[in-house]
Amino acid sequence: MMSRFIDTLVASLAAVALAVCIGDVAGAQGVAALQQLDGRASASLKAQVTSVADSVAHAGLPVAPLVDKALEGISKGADDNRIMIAVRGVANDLGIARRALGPSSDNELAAAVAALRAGSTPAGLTRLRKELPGRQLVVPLSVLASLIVDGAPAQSAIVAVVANARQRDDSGLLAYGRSVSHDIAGGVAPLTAITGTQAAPHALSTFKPAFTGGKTAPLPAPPKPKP
Amino acid sequence: MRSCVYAAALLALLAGVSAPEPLAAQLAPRPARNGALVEGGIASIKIDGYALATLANLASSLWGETGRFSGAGSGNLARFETGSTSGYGELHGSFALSSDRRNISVIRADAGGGAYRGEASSRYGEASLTLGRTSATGAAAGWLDAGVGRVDAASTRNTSHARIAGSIRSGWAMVGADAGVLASGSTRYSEAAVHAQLAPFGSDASGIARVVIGGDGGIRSSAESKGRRAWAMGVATVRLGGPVSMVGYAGAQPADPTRGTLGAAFTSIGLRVALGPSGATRASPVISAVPEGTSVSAVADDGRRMISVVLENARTVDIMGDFTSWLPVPMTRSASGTWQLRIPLDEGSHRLEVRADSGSWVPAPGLPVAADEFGGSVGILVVQ
Repeated sequence: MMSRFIDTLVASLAAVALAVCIGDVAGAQGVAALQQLDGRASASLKAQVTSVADSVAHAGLPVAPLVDKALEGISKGADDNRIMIAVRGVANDLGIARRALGPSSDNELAAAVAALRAGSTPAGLTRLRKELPGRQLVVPLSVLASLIVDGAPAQSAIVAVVANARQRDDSGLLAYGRSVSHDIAGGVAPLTAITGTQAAPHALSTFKPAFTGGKTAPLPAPPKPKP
Repeated sequence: MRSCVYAAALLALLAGVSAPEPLAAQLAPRPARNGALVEGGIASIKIDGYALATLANLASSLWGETGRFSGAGSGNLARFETGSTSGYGELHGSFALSSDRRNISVIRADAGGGAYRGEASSRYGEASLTLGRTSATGAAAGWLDAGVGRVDAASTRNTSHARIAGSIRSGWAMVGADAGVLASGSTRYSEAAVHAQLAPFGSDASGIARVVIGGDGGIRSSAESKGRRAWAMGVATVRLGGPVSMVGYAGAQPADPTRGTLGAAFTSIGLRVALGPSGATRASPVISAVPEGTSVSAVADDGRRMISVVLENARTVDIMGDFTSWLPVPMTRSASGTWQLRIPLDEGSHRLEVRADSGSWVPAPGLPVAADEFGGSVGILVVQ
């Protein structure tokens, strides 16, 4: 009986201490993000994520990407160790992104993490910041990530994003990214697709073989009926 | 005897009466691919009411697509009840001018010819330009098509045509319509036609429709002759298994003055064997080759966006991603057949997956796919 009481007391104190710690370090948004783990993560996993979040928040970086990664792992049935490897990877990339980009919004950092995890280099992120001064980089970074994921070499993708971002607004850049994606899906080599030397197979492949629903075969004019 | 050559060439027609593949389907992103098709069967035809023939036919075609180019060649041999044979062949090629797949801008060239024991022959060539626009999901498309050519059959004539056309489709049906004018020599015609296809029994696991029923109908008139001719035809394709389908046709095909095609009434039945990633193994290119994809709308007044996913033949679709805290959320099916979810979605890169009919989670279709950190993969959706 006494033992159960002590266990409960210790658990309660730990929870209070954790909440105080989270509140102090992660701020309101961090607390809200971490609360998403309630009921979905084991106590051990939540404690580990909170510990990493503590460090991340101390560095002035957003906590939400860590929680998102943990939730993704939980939804996919990954074990806690694997989830924590991924969470620590995101935390590490957040720091790299901050150093590469300098002062950035949370959304920019999240997009930069996506680009890094796709295969971009920190130097590539720095180049984007330098080549596109004053521009919000959320969309350029996201397009960069999608191009690399599609198979474009990272360095070439950075050059392509910079070149296109200079000529287009975010909407145009997004359209460019989609176009490249379609081209690659259509069989165009990624490097060829991002440099725009060839584009999607419009596949108005309307050769219409005669037996698959095409135009009718040409015939001479009909002969006169015999009497 | 001479009528046999017309009958021989009409064999190509007999199997070609299904509604043309709409541009919406043709514009789907496709990997480089190629295929082959062999079809054999018997047919009974009556050309403009007087040339009746029963025929055995064997036909084949090869086709391929890569980049902006596509091309195909086809040919057939026919043996008539008289014991005579004929041959016929066609070549087709197209090149897309635009890099935006929603813009329809294609140059196309067609040529063909045939002969019957060296006693009669025909040739034609045609170049055309098609311009139009298709919706993001490919559910609707509209286009203009114009071309010029030359036909050398009983006489040599210059030809031309101009049409306006459109098509819409849902998950299991397609309807299309076109109207235009055409000329062959000094004779001018006006015409209008409608096309429809249904896949009433769904598709198998490979996405190929089990049964497809199609119909076409139209009317063509000539100011010079004050003549008017209505026509209609139907086709049914039943997939027997693997690459083999049974195909039956019946109806009346109108003449095509720009190609010199004869009008004829016909019935036919045959077996089709198709090799390749789609093509004729798909009993309905219209219905089963629709583009699958994922798109997102602009922010609405309520601050939310609409995520739309095209997943043909799904009865239920769930989605999960960073914007759902990685919890499954059911999508609702729209009238156009796309699966939709209205949800707040920040600017940036989002990771998401979908599942159909409570099956496995997969990256949402049409998106770049990245490896996740958990041994799987995930789709990347970029939002502005």
